[in-house]
Amino acid sequence: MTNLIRIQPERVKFGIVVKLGILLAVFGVLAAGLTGYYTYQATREILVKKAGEELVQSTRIMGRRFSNSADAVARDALMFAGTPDARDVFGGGQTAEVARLRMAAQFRSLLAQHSEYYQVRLISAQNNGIERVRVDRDGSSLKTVSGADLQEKMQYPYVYETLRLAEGDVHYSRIFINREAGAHSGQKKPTLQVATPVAGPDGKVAGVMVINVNLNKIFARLNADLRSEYQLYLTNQAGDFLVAPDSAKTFGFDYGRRYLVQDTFKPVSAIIDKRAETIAVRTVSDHQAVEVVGGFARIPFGHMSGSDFVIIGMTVPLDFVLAETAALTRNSRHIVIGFSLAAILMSILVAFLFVRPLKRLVVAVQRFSETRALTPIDVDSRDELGLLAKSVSQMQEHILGHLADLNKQNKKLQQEIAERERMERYEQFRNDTLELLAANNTISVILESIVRGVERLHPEMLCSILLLDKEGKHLLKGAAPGLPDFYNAAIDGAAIGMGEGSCGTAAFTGERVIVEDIQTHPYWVNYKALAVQAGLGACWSQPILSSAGKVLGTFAIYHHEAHRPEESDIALIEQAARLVGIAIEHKQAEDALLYSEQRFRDVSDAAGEYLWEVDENSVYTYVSRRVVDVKGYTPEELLGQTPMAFMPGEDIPLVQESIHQAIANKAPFRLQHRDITRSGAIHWEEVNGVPFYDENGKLLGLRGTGMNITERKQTEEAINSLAFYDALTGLPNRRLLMDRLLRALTSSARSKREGALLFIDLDNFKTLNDTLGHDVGDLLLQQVALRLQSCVREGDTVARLGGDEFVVILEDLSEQVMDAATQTEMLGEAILHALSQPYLLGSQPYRNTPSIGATLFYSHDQGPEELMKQADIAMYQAKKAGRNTLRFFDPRMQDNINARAQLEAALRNGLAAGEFQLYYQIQVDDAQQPLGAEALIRWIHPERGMVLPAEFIFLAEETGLILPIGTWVLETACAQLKAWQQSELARELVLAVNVSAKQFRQPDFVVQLRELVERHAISPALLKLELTESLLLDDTEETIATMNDLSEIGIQFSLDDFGAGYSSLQYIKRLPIDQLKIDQSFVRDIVVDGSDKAIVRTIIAMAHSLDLNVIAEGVETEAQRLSLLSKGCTHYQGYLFSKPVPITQFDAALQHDALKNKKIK
Amino acid sequence: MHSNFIFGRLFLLIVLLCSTQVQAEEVLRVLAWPGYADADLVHAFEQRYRVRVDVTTINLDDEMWERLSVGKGQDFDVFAVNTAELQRYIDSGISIPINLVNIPNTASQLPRFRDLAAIAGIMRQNKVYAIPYTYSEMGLIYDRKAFAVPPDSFTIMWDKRYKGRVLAYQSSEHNFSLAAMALGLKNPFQIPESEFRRVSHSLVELRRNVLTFYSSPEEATALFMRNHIALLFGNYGTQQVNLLKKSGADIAYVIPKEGALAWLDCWSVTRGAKNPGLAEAWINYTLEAAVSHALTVRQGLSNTLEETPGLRKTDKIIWLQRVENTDRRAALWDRIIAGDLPEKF
Repeated sequence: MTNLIRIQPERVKFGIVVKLGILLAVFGVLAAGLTGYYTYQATREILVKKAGEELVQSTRIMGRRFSNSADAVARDALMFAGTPDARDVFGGGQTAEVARLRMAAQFRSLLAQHSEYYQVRLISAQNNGIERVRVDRDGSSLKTVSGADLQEKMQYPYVYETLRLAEGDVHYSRIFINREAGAHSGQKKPTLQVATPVAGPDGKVAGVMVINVNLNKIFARLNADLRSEYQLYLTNQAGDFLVAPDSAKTFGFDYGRRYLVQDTFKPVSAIIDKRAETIAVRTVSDHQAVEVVGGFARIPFGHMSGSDFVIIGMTVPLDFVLAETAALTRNSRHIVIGFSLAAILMSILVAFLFVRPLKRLVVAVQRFSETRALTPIDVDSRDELGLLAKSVSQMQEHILGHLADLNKQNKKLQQEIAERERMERYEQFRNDTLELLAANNTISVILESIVRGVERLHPEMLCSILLLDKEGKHLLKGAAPGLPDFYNAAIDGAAIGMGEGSCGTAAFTGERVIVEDIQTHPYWVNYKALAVQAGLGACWSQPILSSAGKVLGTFAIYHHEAHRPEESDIALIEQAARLVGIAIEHKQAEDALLYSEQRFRDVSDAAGEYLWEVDENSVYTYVSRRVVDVKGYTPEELLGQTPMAFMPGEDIPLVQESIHQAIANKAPFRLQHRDITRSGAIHWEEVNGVPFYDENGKLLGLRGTGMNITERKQTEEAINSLAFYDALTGLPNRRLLMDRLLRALTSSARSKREGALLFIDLDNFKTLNDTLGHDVGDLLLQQVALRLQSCVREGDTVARLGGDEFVVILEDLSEQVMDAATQTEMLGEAILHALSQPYLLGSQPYRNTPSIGATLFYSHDQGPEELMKQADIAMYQAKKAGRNTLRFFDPRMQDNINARAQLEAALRNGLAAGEFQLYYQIQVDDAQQPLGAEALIRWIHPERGMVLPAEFIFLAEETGLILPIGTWVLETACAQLKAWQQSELARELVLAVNVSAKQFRQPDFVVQLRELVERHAISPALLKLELTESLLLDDTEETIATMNDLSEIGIQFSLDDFGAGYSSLQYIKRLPIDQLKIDQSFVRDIVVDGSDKAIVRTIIAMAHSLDLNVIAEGVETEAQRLSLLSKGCTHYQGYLFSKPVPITQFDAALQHDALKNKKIK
Repeated sequence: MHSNFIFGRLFLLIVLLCSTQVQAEEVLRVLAWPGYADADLVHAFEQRYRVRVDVTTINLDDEMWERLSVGKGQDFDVFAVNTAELQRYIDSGISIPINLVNIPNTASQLPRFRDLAAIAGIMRQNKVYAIPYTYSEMGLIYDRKAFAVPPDSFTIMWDKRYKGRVLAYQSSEHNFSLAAMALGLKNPFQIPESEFRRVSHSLVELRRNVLTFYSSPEEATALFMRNHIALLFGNYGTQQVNLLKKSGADIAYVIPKEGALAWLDCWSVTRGAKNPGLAEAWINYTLEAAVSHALTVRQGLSNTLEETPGLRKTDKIIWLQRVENTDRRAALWDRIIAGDLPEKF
């Protein structure tokens, strides 16, 4: 036990001396190293900076040398240009010939001296720039070009540019790759051309002296003095490399690439932008891939103006610059090593002194740990170490005391643990048994498992279970796997009774029987020999009791030797017997249940039903086999699915509703629904079900039966159809009609929308039947039915009463009775028209007409029968009126319809007779100056007098007459605009014309207007179309397109009645509208009504923000005008200024006002 | 264990870095004219396909030939070339057939560019070698102050009254075609053997009448502004007109009665293309509405998706064709431009 807290002493691997020593040494070495490194770096930086500055300086010098080289070329050119021979070359005759020969000789010697020159020429300003003297370097030789080989060069800038210079000026070309064809070695070489004008014998510029220089040669010379580590760069003023260590990167622009110095050496862009003259760089050169330092300088070059320059640069690898720092590195290294060694020595010394007493302490503690013996510690210093030594001694004593206590407690703990483990093992055994029970095992498996479980808990025991037979007289073998077979066979079926062994007696008495020694106990007299044979010494038997106290069998424990039970053994045998009791009872109950289930299944199968169960989410948890006959799917396919997954969608709501009801009421339900079977066929199914719950009342699911009722359903439907539909036409019959009519009346009363009943009778049907026979008559009725159905709207009902009588129910008509009457009439007209078209009966064309009686639901107090009677009466009136017509039951309605028909006729007549006139109402600005007018239509009827648009426009729209009327209005308005062009006062007036939706939507409306405007030769900007908001809201895209097309012509738009309807800013923003017209309803109360005021202010603000003009209509008082003005509205129309008047009055008023204004002025 | 974990992570990181490095290494090499592959449009393509695009621009047809023929097309993946120039690239095997399936945007091209068989030179043996991208006709630009009546013929470029005030274009092929047209030859692309001398002489005359020959539109504009130029052969068409107008030149543009040569630039894939699919993706990309439109807006070039406003219906346009002998024209032109006298031809 002491091992538990004994610590094995260990050898110290790295002592404190080593650790402390290393730590201090590392610190010392680091400090020395860092100081050395810093000194080294700082010095290095200074050196690099200095190198950069020196390179800039060198670059400057290099630049000067480059300039000097160019200047030297210029000097050569100028020198030759100034010679008399050069002048004479451009003269004539023999002198010129001689001069040319001499110049050629001089050029040859010049080329011989300067290997960088490859072509020297004198070019004439005459004859297209013909060369006069030309010497080329051609490989290693020099070649004088003459005669027909001389070329014309005026097309090159070095000629035409130089000829524009004054004598003594020099032209430097760009540095470029020479591609000029000719026999010279400068082909495709970087070239600089230096040219200067040459005066002829008359002193005027007569030609050009040109020297071509190979730039590579110049640079090779500049490079020659440099050590090979130095790299030279030349770029033009845009930064393109002309000379660079990597020749592939030069003259990129010549073949479309750009290789720029500022891409490699970023700081150089300061020179290119003229922010700096020189710059030092330090970067990784992409050519050598090493770090380089360098300098770049701007070198003025080229034109005399001085604005042109080149950039020269020089770089050198950093390592090369830093070669001088090698000694510095060496010294730093020596110093660092010296300091480091000293630091290490010091560290070791300090560590050793500090650690010696600690070591002694360690030795003492280790010895205690190994031997448990107290050792005096030899540290008596008065510092922390001395204190530590004393504390360690005390601690050792305490530890010894504690150890003794711990040992005692430990022993007790061990016993408790052993007990608990046994309990747990029993619990485990019990749970295992219960699990076996739950898992539906056979009783023998369970019993055997109990026996084995007990034997496992107590290996010294052998157990046996015997079961009482049905008569309660004999014990039968239950389970005894540990006992020999012959023994088991011998006692199987043994009778129970007093003295019939331990078990027989226990079963008989219902009491526990403890036989400690079989050989001596009187109960075992008959079985003693058997027990000896089986090697059994003791047998304790406990009766197994049911929950009702009835003996079910016995549980026995045997020992090989005589054995007395302890208290725990008694508890064990009791528990085991109880467990077996539970198992047997459970099994019996289960068997009873299975039997009952099977019985139920058989019964339902016999009834053609299947059984089902779903969980609370309506997912199948069980379906019986019979379901295949109903749904066409096997149970395996259905499990995990919901019944709804196999139903047509429209049946699902009803099913769900029924289930909800059943759950809510905790009541059974019955419903019928359709299934889509595996083959796709539709089956009808009747389902009975009931929800079921757990003991807490929580819903677990539903279960019930289902049954295929397809055949029954079909029969029912056939019967139903016979009862409600007319067999000949398939239309609803009188019975269904009355039902529908009742429903229509109810729904109309609820929705307040009107409905109507039409009674239709075919004229002369009897004659047809009599002459051509019933078969033909039936054909006609069928066709009439079809035509009627095609006339009505969805939701309306067409029914056949019998014979040749049909009825139509119209629902959902207007709320206004007169409007509803109009709708009914229109539909009636449509039916009249449809039924009057020829029929084809067999091969015979046949004509027939109907008479129609109509009545409306409107009073809502008539029943269906009453309504039918009214419609019937109206139909007879129609017959009387000459057939093929429609009559209303209500005479007022009939009058109304008649009046409308008259008005329509009058309107057509009026249009033809020219009874319409345009009136004009003036529109003015805030200074009351006329801006234009709105044209308003008036109908001057010969009898009725003046008719306002409100009375006839709606009818015109309904009948389509609005189109010719609208055309007339536009035509008249345009003619008026044309007429106004003659008058100085009216020339600029804009005429606003109202356009109806029907008119606007004509496909050729844009074409019409364009034609109108062109024909009248008026400015389209003077024509303004007034559109209502409702027009804009329908068919928006089409509307916008039309408006855009019109707007393109130049026609303006005003949005009429603005604010009264549903206005979407979104639309307005997208439309080409010029003006908003504030609805007069707002203007009327603007002075008194706060909300109107606010609305008007908002409209105006919005219009202004959309950059739209605003006009207010219906302005009648000065107060209204002032209020509008104060809100920013400056255009008005209304009685305050003038009412709408005929054109003669309008023009006269215009004249009058103009005169008045003149006088005022 | 711990250090293994760290090491493992480090290794993973390195592997990832390397692999992205490898992916980023895929490069599309485009050889095109200035403005055909602007940096922002290239950048968008690079983002979309996670590749790098190297754009090389050229200013001359002959320069392009040099760039492509030297490496037999190995140095580039895709290039923009006109239909006439294309022929020598097909002949030499530098241009390879294109898989139209990879270029669905051809569906939105104008009908005349979709009917590839109708454009001379684009197809051979039923294989498509190029996709039209942009075109431009070469009319005549003139200083409005110098002409009361607009010139109506290219022959005006030879008119001595304008000596030293004419700019022509630095190109062997076009100049021979131009001279042939001015001389009234029937087919400017097929100069008969018997006429070469006459055409060469005519070009010497042109050389004598011009101030100089330009290469790029920018150079032409600079020369125009500095040298009192009256006439300018508009090799870059409307693009050049816009540039001149922007610089303040008072110029106008006409298609002379001889008709205007017009080039049709197409994209073609080289046999050196490392990934032809990527090259085709590039072509498809340039036919997106936004990219093609940018070409028109920025460069003044017509694209193949939108109709070009401005050309008169009666104007005669002659699509460039392959000429009878490119090398011969180039060799002759080198001598003409260098200033050889007429008697040497």
